[in-house]
Amino acid sequence: MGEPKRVLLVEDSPTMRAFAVAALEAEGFAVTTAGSGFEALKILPRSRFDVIITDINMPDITGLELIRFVRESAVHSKVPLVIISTDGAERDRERGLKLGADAYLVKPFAPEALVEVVRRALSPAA
Amino acid sequence: MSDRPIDRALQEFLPEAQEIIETFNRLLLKLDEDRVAGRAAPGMINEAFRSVHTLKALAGSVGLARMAHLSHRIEDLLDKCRLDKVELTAEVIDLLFEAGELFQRIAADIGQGASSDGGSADASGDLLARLEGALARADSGHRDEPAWGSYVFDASLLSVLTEYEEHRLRENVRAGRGLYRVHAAFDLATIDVGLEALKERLKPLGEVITYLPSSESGDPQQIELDLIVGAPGPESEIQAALAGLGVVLRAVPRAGRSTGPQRAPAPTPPRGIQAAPERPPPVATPATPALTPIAVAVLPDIEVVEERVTSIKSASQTVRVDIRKLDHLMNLVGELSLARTGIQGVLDELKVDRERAGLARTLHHEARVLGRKLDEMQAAIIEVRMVPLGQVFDKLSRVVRKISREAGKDIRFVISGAETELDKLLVEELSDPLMHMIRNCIDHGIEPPEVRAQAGKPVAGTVAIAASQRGNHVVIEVEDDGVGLDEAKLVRSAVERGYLDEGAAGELSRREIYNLIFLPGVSTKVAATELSGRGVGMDVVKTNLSRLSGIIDVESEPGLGTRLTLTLPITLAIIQALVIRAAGRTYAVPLNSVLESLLIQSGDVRTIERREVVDLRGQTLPIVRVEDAFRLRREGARPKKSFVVVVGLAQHRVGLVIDELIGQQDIVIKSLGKSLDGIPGIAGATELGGQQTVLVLDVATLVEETLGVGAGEAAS
Amino acid sequence: MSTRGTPFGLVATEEAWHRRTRAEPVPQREYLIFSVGGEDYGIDILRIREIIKVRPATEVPRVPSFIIGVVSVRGIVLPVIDLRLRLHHEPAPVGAAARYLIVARDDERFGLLVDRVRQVVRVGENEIEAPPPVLAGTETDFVAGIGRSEQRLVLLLDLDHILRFEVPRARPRSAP
Repeated sequence: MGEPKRVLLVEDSPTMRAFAVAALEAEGFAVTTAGSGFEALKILPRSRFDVIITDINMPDITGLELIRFVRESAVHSKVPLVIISTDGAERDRERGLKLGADAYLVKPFAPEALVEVVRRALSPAA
Repeated sequence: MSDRPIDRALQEFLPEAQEIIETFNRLLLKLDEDRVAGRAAPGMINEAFRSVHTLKALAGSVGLARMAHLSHRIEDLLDKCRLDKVELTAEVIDLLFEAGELFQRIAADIGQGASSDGGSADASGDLLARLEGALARADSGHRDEPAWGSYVFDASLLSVLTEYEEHRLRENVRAGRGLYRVHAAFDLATIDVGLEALKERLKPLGEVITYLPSSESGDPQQIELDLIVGAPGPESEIQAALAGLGVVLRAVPRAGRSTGPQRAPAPTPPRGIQAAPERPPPVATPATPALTPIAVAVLPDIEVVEERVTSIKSASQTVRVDIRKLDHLMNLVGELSLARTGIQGVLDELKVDRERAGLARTLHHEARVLGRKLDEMQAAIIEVRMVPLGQVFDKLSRVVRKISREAGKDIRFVISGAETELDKLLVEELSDPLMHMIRNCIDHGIEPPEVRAQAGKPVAGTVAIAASQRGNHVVIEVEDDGVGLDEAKLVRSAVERGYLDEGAAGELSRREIYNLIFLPGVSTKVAATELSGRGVGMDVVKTNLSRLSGIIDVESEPGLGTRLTLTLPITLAIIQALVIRAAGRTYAVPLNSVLESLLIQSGDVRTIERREVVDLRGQTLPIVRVEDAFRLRREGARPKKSFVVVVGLAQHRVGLVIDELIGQQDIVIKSLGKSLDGIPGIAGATELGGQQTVLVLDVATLVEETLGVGAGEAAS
Repeated sequence: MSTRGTPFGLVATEEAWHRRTRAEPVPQREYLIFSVGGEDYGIDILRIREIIKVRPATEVPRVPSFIIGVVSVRGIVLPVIDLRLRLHHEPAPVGAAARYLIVARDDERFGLLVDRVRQVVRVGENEIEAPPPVLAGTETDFVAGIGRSEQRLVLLLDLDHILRFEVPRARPRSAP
């Protein structure tokens, strides 16, 4: 077994966070969480992640701004990026994909769905 | 069982849901208050939207289908409200209140052990029906998104905005607010505090529409943000509110308007005056590029309003500070820098200690932040010293009135660039020289009305003063449309005073002839009139300006007018210097004392009374070799060609013999420390690029030593 | 009584720890020991701000020959004194082990060129002897006392004396 894949989860609802962390950790991912776009900005330059999952609708630094930041950064420009958003936010999701996100998942989601999307983002060929 | 993710989430659902519902209800109360008071609160509607948005996802995740559905529709309604597609009427707020109460009831039921939200099926069904009605009505009557107006946004900015942010941007444009980009760089460690402070300052001024992070600096310890701000007030108000935060404010560019931070208006071609065609000077003069004539901007007639009404508001927001207090603050910053250096010393010791590596890293970081803040503080203090030149210009306009009445001349005084800022001390020192210059314009430049009429000129003479900032310098031009300088009279006067012999006079370029006016006693007036008797010679003006590291140049066109161009550093902390090399060493010579530079061959040097001299346009110029004055050991032979930098102290002239002229540079003079300060010939040290420390020559003591002027014999 | 483990399995008691650190009634000072011209000298460590590698100094005219010139350290320009010349040793080329000791007098900084930095030693105040009236050469002027470190004699320098020197000064200039 190789190194566990490192996941950064950016989500401002603690419940949604706990939910996603439980689902991912059960599958052997090493999850770091950020409760806001800002927190993510602070964490990103200091660490390396294999995949980043982000909510869009967050105060101040939105998921879209975070996606652009990640894509322009030296370390994470190529890292797979998954958007989690609710339905009704289709237009923002579209913009996120245009900015370079690789996949999206609509909240609420089943734990299996999250794991599945993350796995596919990590190995696009499969 | 409880290990299943869904159960763990359920355990956390209730507290968060309750918190969200409370927030939601609190926001509704505030929104209703604002609605009644007629205030718009787009930020608050967005917050309410976000709270139900989260609630929807939460409820869905734990299988509370009704709550999820209800919050979904509330979210839709609030989405339309925040995008201004639905007006937030009393009816809409009532619906939202009802929803809030229903959410609370469901949460309470769950708290008491209910496993689903089925208990409130009827209530939510009824509310949903009314919600659908409100949403349907809204859909029919929504208005178009406002256009961008004249703003120019780049696509990369727009692509990163959420729908809501884009809408807010459009709304700000529609409301005719100014749009600004505030660029801020934060340390990772202090971003929260820094950003909070920035938001606090911006809040009363307008709306922060979006935050765009970037990692352009490449410094992993820093995050840079661009805040897009919409504000109704003037740019200066925002600038003032942000003072000291170390952020950069820029207006978002608009089509057809000038961009960038206040640029001086483009210079229009000089009216009447052309740069005097010049013969090439007798020898290379690389030291005088600062004297290149600069086109003057004679701006549309701005008549001076004598009594300027200053608003009561601005007066109450200003404090008067003794400039010595600012000097004291500046010194304190210097001492703090020393203390910081001390910390660095401790740090270096700590680094050696492996057990304290973590501590050393933290300290290193803190010391870096401290250093940066000290730099900012220094810049801020310099900024406080800056005052607009308008203070002097206002005084001048009163003087013009008085002098023109006395002289019986009709003068139109045109001012531009009054907002240009300069170190307070410089502004104080400038008022006398400027007054003399303007007095000269009126007394000697502008012809009497009857002469002007005969010459076909407007009877009223024009004296214009224009200031503008160029890099670290401020350029002030004083121009008149009078008679111009009389070359013949200038040359005659200079010859009479013994500055020139007749033969040398013929060799002078026009510009050199005009510059004779700065020699003591040289004047265009043959007989001193009542007025010129009271006037001060231009030599005094030049000397006073030199003390401020200022340079003055003159251009003239017979019959059309004269222009004096004054170039000053923004602050005395920075001076212009000529970088030279002598005997393998590099030195800086303050440009304010350099008159010109000449190229000489070894054969040009003569010895008179054991003193070396060269001929300069018929004059004997004593020279001093830097290597002799400083007793420097030279590797190899002296070069055949050398440069002579002619330096002046008041009326004295000395040629410094050097090997090479490197170029001109703005420098900051630093002290050599108490133990070495005051060595004759050395004014201090400065750092050129590439960590090169060089000495700055003290021209005054070198001239005194060479000529033996001043008290007693020259020390050798 | 608590004990603390060490990586080597030794156990030191808190008591022993305190005994070692506490039971020293004689005031001690720490000195930085360095060599110049084959002799070992010491300077009170509290006077030393930092130790930096030798960098080219900018020559300053009209100063005593033991002043090599000035260097800029973190934006502050300071004079550098060649201790070989200051202490009347023979001049020698600057070796790879040479360093500048940055020392302070009030708020002024100086650099001291030394051949090699050796170590930091603690010397009890009762172990310091007054310098004999005659030492080799005239350097006794600059020696405040003699200490002992690992059987070697260390000359403890009077820094203030070393930093005291005269340079020519321009007359106070009258206003033009």
